[in-house]
Amino acid sequence: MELDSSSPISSVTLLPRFGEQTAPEVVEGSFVPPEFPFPNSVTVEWRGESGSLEATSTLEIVSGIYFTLDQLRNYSEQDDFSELPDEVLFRAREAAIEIFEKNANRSFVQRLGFTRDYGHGELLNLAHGDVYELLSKDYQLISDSQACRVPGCHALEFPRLVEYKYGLDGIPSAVSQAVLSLTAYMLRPSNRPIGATGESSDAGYIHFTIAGRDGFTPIPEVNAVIQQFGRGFNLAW
Amino acid sequence: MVAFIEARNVLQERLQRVFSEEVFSQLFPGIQIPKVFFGFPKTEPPFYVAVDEIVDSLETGRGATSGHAEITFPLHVWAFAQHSSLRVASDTLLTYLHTIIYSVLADPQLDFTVDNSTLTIDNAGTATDSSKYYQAAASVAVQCTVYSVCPAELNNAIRKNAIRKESNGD
Repeated sequence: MELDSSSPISSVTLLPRFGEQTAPEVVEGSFVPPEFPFPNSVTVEWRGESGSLEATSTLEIVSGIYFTLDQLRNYSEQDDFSELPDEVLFRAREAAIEIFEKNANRSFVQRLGFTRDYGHGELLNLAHGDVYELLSKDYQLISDSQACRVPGCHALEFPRLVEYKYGLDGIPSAVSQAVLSLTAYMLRPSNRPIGATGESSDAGYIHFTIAGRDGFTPIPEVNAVIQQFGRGFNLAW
Repeated sequence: MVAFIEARNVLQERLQRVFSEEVFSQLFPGIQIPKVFFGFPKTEPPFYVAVDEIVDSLETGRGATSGHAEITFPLHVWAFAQHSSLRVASDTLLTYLHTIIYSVLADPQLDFTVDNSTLTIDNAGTATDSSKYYQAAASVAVQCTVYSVCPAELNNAIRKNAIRKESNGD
């Protein structure tokens, strides 16, 4: 792992949310991250030769991956992804996962999440579903997407961050395949003018499926998987 | 009998032999080998060639000998390539067409099932699709000709019928 920066990096400090602070050896600006428990969040402090802080970045440690970059690289013989660098494939995968999880209203890997509590009402509707462990004191779960304050915590200052672990433990193969399809679609060069909804061609008129107009994503099969495996909404009642 | 089935089978077997690792990959390294189908495939793969299972038109002509008509009928071959690059899709399809045409011209008698065959491309085009792929497709007609058809197997039946009618005074 290395920082894309012109400043030389001579040391890094890893500050995990769970686990011990470490300073792995840096060789020519890069380091091999140690293993951390998941889900987790690790702040990386990148320091120069004088010890000055050059940059910070945050790593999100989750319980699994939707598919490997090699699966994407070998997606089909109709695409030329094999020459693309890992960074491009990684970013496309992240973008596709974001779109899928946002519209499915759930994560299929375990993550850390938080919701801001402004202190009003009895129930706190959490920003995520499938919450399986509450990390903040003074709160207790009453469903997998709702918490309430324990007695006595009304004297606390608001707003406060309520932290928790959420997400499913296991990725259905249909979900993995759908996110893979969406990622491949995103990597493919566009074949249409911006804003076009269809086009006449040698094969007749072709209607383009457009994300946001014809469904969550431009691929109807992916939209179907989002509906089949998603929560549909975030709240439990 | 007009050798529809025999000619079609020879054409399909020939294309299967030509679009193979041993032949096609040697001639055109790096080009996807198409799957060869009998009839239109139920699920379309991205690269394929399909031989139409039936003859959909026919013409008879004057024939080389008296009373023996010339017959011409087309055997259709469809070729299809799909890729995210228009150039790759087009070049692949053109390579398929080249291979189909040469496969027939190498032996236009189709293993002596017909007397001659000629080729036309009767439809072709490219198109985009909603998956951001480009498709290139073409239909090749292999016009088969039998110069002098002798319908001997039905001659006797037809003649007997005619003789019976004559003896009945009809």
